[in-house]
Amino acid sequence: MKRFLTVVFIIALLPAFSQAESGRKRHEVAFSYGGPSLRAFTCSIDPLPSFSHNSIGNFLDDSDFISRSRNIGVFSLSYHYYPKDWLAVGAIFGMTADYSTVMDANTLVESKFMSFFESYDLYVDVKFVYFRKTWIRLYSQVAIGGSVMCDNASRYFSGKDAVYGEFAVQTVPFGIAVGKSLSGFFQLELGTSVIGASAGISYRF
Amino acid sequence: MVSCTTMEINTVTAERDKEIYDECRYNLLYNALEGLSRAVKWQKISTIDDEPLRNYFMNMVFSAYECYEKGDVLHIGNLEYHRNGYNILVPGAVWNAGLAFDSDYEYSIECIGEGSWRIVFTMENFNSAFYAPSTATGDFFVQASDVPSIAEMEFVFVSGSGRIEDEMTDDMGRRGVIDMYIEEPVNAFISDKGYDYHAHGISIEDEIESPFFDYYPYTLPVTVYKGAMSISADVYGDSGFPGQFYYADLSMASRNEHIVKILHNGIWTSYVW
Repeated sequence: MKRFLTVVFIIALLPAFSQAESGRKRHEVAFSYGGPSLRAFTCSIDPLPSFSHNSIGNFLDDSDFISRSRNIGVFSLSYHYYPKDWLAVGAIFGMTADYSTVMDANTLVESKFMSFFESYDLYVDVKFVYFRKTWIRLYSQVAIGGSVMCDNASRYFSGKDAVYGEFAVQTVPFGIAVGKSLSGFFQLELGTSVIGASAGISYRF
Repeated sequence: MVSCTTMEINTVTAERDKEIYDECRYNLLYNALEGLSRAVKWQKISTIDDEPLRNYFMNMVFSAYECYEKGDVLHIGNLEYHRNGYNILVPGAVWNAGLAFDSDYEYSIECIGEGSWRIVFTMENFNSAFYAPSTATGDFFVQASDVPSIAEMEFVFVSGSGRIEDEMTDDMGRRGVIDMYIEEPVNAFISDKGYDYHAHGISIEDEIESPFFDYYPYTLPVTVYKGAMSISADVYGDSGFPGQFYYADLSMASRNEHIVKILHNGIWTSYVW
C-alpha cells in the first residue's frame, strides 16, 4: 500500500516537474546561419600546388591547381530544454563546406565548383539567460563537442581519403533574442566553428 | 547577413611562367655567355700595352679567379680554354673550353667577324630549378655591344636557340623539354665577377667553402634586357600534353630593372623581379 501511494504521489508530481516556475514553454528549436567559419579553406589551401620540381616533365604535366574557393558559411540546428527560465541545456548540430574550382595552368580551363571540404559539428551546450523581458532576452552560451571533417581536396589531388575528427568548442559571449514563442536572434560567436556572428529564428513550445 | 567567404588564387600561373623563363635565362643565356665573357675580357685586357693598366684590369676583373696560362691552355677559374694558337678576337679563331673537374661540358667559341662569335655548348644543367638531371644545349650568335666597360662587358644575343631536356624520365615515363629561341636581339652581361659555380657543383647542401656563398643555385649573375625570346615547352611520353608556348618581351627592361612581359595562352602579363 505504501509503495502504491508513493508511485501515485510521484506520478501526480510529474506535471509539476514539466512546468516552469512561471509555467512557460520549456522546449526550443532553432535554426541559424553565420560565419565566417574558422575552418574555411583549411583543406582548400593545403594542396595549393608547388608544381613539383622533380623534373621538367613533372613540373609541366602536373598543372591542376585550386583557382577559386568559396565557403558557404555555417548552418546550425539546435534544440534546448529550459529546466529554469534562465538556464537551458541542449545540443547543436552545425555544418560548413568549401566549394572550389580547379584550373589547368597550361590551358587555363577551369572546372565547375566542387565540394572540397565538409565539416559536421555536434555539441552539447548550456545557455544562460541573464536578462529577460517579455519580448527581449540576452544570453550567453558554452558548447563542447566534436567535429568530423572530410578532406575531399586530398581525394582529388592525391587520391587519398581524409576523414578525421577534432574536439570542438563554441561559445556565445553575447546573444539577443527578440520575440515570444517565435523569436529572431542574433549572437556573437567565438569557437572552432565560427569566429564572428550568426543569426536565426527559434521556436519555443 | 552574408557570411559566405571567398578566396581566389591568381598567382599560380604567373609563378609557372616566371619559372620557365628563369630556367631559360639562367641555364641557357648565362651558360652561353659566361665562357665567352671571360675569354673576351681576358683577351682584350691582355692586349693592353701599358703594363700597370693591364695589371689593374686583370686584378679588377679576374681577382675572384685563379687565372694563368699553361702552354696553349688558358685557365680562368675552372674553365680551361684550349686556344688552338688563336687570339679569340681575330675572325676565324676557335677556342674550345672544358671544365677543370670531371663533368659533361663542351663549349666552343668561334670568332666569325670582328666583335662577333658563335657559341655552341652542351653541358649538364647544373643550376636547374628541377631536381632530375637535365642537359642544356645551345647555339647562339653573339656580338659585343658598344658599351665600353671591361668589367661589365656587354654582349648581344643576336640570334640562336637553346634547349633544356630531362635526361632521365620520371616514373611516369615523361621527359620534359624546353626550347628557347632568340626572336629579337637580347642584351646581356655577367652582372658580377662571375659565380664560378662550376667549381662547386649544383647542390646548396655542398659544404664547400666558396667566396660565392651568397649565390644560391637557380639565380645566376646574368642580366638581360631589350629584345625578345620565345619558349616552347613539351612533355615527351605524354601524348595528351598540350605543348606550351611563351613569348618573353624584354623591351621594357633595362640594366637596372628587370621588366618582362610574358605572353602565354593569349594573355600578356608584366612582371618585375
